[in-house]
Amino acid sequence: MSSADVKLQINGQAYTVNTEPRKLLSDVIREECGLTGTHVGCEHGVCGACTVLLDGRPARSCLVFAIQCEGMPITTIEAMAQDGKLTTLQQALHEEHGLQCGFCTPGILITLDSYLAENPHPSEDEIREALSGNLCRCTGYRNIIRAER
Amino acid sequence: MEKTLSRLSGMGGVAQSMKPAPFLYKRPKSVEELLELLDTHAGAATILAGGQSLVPMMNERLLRPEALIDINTLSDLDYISQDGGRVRIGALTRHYELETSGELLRSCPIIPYAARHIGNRAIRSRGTVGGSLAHADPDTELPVVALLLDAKLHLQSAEGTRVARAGEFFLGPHKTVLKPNEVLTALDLDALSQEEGWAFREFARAGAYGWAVVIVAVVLRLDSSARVTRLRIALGGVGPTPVVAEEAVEPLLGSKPGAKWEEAVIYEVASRLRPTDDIHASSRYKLDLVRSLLPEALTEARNRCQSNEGER
Repeated sequence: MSSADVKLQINGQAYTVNTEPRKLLSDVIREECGLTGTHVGCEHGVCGACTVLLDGRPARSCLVFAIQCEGMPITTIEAMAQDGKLTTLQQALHEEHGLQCGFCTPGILITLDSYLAENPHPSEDEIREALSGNLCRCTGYRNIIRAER
Repeated sequence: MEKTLSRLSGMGGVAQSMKPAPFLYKRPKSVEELLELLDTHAGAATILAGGQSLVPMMNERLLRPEALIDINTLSDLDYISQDGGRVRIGALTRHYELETSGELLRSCPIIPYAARHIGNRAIRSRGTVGGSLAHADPDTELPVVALLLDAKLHLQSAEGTRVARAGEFFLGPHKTVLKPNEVLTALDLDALSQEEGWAFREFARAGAYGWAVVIVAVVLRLDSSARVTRLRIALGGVGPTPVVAEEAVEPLLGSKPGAKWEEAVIYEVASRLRPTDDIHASSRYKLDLVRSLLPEALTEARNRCQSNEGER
């Protein structure tokens, strides 16, 4: 299938990429736009590592084609820390050992950041529920949950 | 979608790739254009709505549609409206919109409640009600609720619109009465009345998707002398389609609900079910789940009737 120009807006910056319709947003973000903070794990929507914000809401970038995202603001993990200064949430994960290998961390940060924006004072159960779509194989989640609290 | 995979692996073979096969991509600008495209590509095209079940299957190459018709920009299909006691939901309404709709919280609160059980937040950002119904997974929330509320589904093609009731729409796992040139555009439901209480119970496996093993949903109406005048029970995870226990509950109408009555309901419902063993749960275990979820649901539905009563 022939490729075409796709115009994307990621973290407020415009990108034009020449790609096939079948190319997943996750792959375009990493390979065409060079934003490798978004990680690709299972590639079928289970692990949550590739979570980005689409139109301000968390979504799996491996379950949407880049061509579908024209005109839709996309936010990736690169938008989070500004000038090398970690956000409160990032700092909390750092201090509570909420990450080890770091593979799942971008997806977890995107997921929780958007969740906390809507629900600033969640209970532990609510945090667990909010995190239920993100797999972490290192921490056993305890330190991640402690970081949110 | 390992659950879907386990169901389809016999048909599709072993997944070898995690990238979708090439397809022709079409993005209609109107419903009319969509219907034309469906006519032109009938049989070869698949509709892409939220894509939260379709895209995983394409990534796994269990599905290789020749053409994808992306309806995500058809905002005409994304709405919730109410006209008296009749609620209409556009097929492109996303799960998170169901969750947070003030209109539904007032008229059909079981829908927002059930929608909260779907997948996780990221899935609910994209997934749509029409996609969920057309995907026809018998173990998922919205098909059960559509059946419970006797939803009328609008199936549109270039030839016109026909209406199918939820009870006749589902034919089997991932099988519906939708023809290749048809699209599900909306569903109609009756708002629940003040006399009606509802409950939704699901037993789900832990994990990223929180897939349900068994779902039980109940609507119950009491008259002024606290007799049951309506009882509708829909279940998921117990057959190839969601099921509604119609015959089973008929003789139980007109009674005051008590412990004996509840036992009778559970017996009548459970004794008619023939769930199959699968890799997630045995038939017996599923029946045990029905027997433990149903009493909880009946009590909750009854309590809701009574608290409505108190408010009036």
